[in-house]
Amino acid sequence: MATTVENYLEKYSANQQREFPLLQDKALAHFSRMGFPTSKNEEWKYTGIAPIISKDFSFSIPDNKCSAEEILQRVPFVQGSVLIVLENGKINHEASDLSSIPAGLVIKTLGEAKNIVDVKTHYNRYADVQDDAFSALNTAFANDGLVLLIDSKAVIEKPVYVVQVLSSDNVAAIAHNRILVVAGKNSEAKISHLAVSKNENTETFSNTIIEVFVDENASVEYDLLQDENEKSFQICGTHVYQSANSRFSINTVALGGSILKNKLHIKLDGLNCETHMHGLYVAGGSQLIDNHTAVYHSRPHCNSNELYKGIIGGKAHGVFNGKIFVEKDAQKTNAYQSNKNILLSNDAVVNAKPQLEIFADDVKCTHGATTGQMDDESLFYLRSRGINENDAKAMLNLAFANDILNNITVEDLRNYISGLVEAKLKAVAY
Amino acid sequence: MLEIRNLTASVEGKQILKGLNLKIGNGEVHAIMGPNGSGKSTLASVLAGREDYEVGGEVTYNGKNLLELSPEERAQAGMFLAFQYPVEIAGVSNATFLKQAVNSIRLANGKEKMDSKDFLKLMKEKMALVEMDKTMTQRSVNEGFSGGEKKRNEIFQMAMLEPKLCVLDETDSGLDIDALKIVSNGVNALRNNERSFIVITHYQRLLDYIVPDFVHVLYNGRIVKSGPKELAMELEEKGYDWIKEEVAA
Ligand SMILES: Nc1ncnc2c1ncn2[C@@H]1O[C@H](COP(=O)(O)OP(=O)(O)OP(=O)(O)O)[C@@H](O)[C@H]1O
Ligand SMILES: [Mg+2]
Repeated sequence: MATTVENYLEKYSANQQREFPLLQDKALAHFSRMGFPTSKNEEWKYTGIAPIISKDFSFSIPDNKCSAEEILQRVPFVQGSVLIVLENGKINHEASDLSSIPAGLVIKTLGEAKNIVDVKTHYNRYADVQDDAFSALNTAFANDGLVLLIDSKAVIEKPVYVVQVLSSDNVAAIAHNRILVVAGKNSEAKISHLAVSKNENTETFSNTIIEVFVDENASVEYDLLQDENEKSFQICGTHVYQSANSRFSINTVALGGSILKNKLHIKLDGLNCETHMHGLYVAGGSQLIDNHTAVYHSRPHCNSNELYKGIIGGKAHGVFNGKIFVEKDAQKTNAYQSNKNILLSNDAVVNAKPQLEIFADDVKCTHGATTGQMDDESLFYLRSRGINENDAKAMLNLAFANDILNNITVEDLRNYISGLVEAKLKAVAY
Repeated sequence: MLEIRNLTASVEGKQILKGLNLKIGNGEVHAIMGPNGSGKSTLASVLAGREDYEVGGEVTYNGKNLLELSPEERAQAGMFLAFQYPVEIAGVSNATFLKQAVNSIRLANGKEKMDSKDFLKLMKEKMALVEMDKTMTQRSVNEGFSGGEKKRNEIFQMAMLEPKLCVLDETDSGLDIDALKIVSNGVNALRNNERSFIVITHYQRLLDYIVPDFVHVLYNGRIVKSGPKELAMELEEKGYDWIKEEVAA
């Protein structure tokens, strides 16, 4: 196992193609300095990554591109919308549908966009490359990611779909996915990001970084569905920077994967920002789903609102860690955080930890975490009407989950996810 | 329809039903009255299959051993309990819930699922029966319903599911005078020579609307007196002391 870090370093030298050589070399140096985190690291206390780092993943996935049909089979509702297929970390142009890109939206690969001022300004500025080994690895290896630029004043009404897929058929493979979103002043957009697998049986590791810059008075909804296969490892860092009067809302639904770790960092760096963070995780079998979130209130008069819900069955493990930082300058902050979990079995585990660090005095902050069982009275009521026990449980759990799903304003996506959640709830009920 | 022999039920070491006997034929309406805490709701819960009790004795329902069945199997076999305290279920709409219930009962009885169109038609018809506002079906089950609305919703569900044996636990409490008439009319519309009812109530007034074939007094875990509908009037007039004395004697 000691050779794992070297293994990644070797893979880096073997591939000489670099769009951002300086950034990438620097990121690799950070990785080399830090090495992989251990359970001593607070961020990784409950999330053992030995199964991930002990594996010799292939970095070059045999050319096995998904066709547009295959993508539409998996996510039929995206048909007719702007669709970007991010396959093994690269944009697959044939499977994407860029035929009707609305005015004000620019879609490019990182390579194509590297000289655009906005990209130079924002790329890799928010990701925590110096502190997180996986962020460092992502920056070092991501070469061909996705850039979405929304012009100022552009209102992109329809959702922009990003389907992230790992398409290795037999070989355990890794992909570094990178997405940069720059929403210009007064712009509006909805981005729906769906992470799936092509093959349901291949061990894969997707290491993803999403950066979102929300300029003054802009409004962005980011929906993130994580439904890669049961054997997959997924590490995903989302780093958001909000300017004054902006609005950002993120809905994360984590379903598939053996180990799934999310990190969400949002910095509110202007007056009157509004932020909504909603998350749902449904885990069964021996899954581990870890959500670490942090919101940094740096300026006054901002509101942040967070609700994460978990449903854990089997021997699965859920982790929630939510930090709220309120800096000295951030007076009149309103920050709400809540985490609610339902355990479906005796062997299911949840570790929930809210963390507040408040340095301003005129703020309203509340937080709460609950973990409980399903309500017996409700279950009996449904069963007494002839509904079978497992269906009744699934209904109650879906109702619990709907609190989160209802925040997804993209209706087709919401219905699709709701179907996946319902199916998964039936599968984890025992 | 139903035969209960020497039924006992305890919870947390406390015996609540203490050898209860009752026989109900097809199409009959039996009223059960009795002082607070005598075990009426416990009887209803045990019949519906609530799992909190240690149960003894025998209950035969249309030839089946009722006590062996799960709550959903009982409902699928035609049992219905209108709860004294209907549960609020946030996030599940009345319509979704009822559709699932109707279809699951149909499937269990070898019938096909009802399609959405027929289901909506059925809902409309049954809502009219209990004069229920149609916005109610889109709301979460009982959530934020007033006491009376919850009771009306129970009878609406009963009408939708068309059970064979209906147990109404204090459906009249919480209903205003007009609602009492409406709900009673709804119940009466469902009466026929097959369908049987157990009507638990404290008030003779309900029995003016839903006229019972028999009245029973449940006291201290047993049926201690049975009689024709006139017994209800006697109870209304005299209270329960004379019954308690009779039992003590
Ligand atoms: N889960 C329980 N744990 C402890 N005691 C219980 C439980 N359920 C019922 N009891 C007790 O059993 C007795 C009978 O209760 P039950 O609800 O059946 O009475 P009831 O006849 O329906 O009364 P009411 O007319 O007030 O509705 C009461 O003393 C009640 O407190
Ligand atoms: Mg009662």
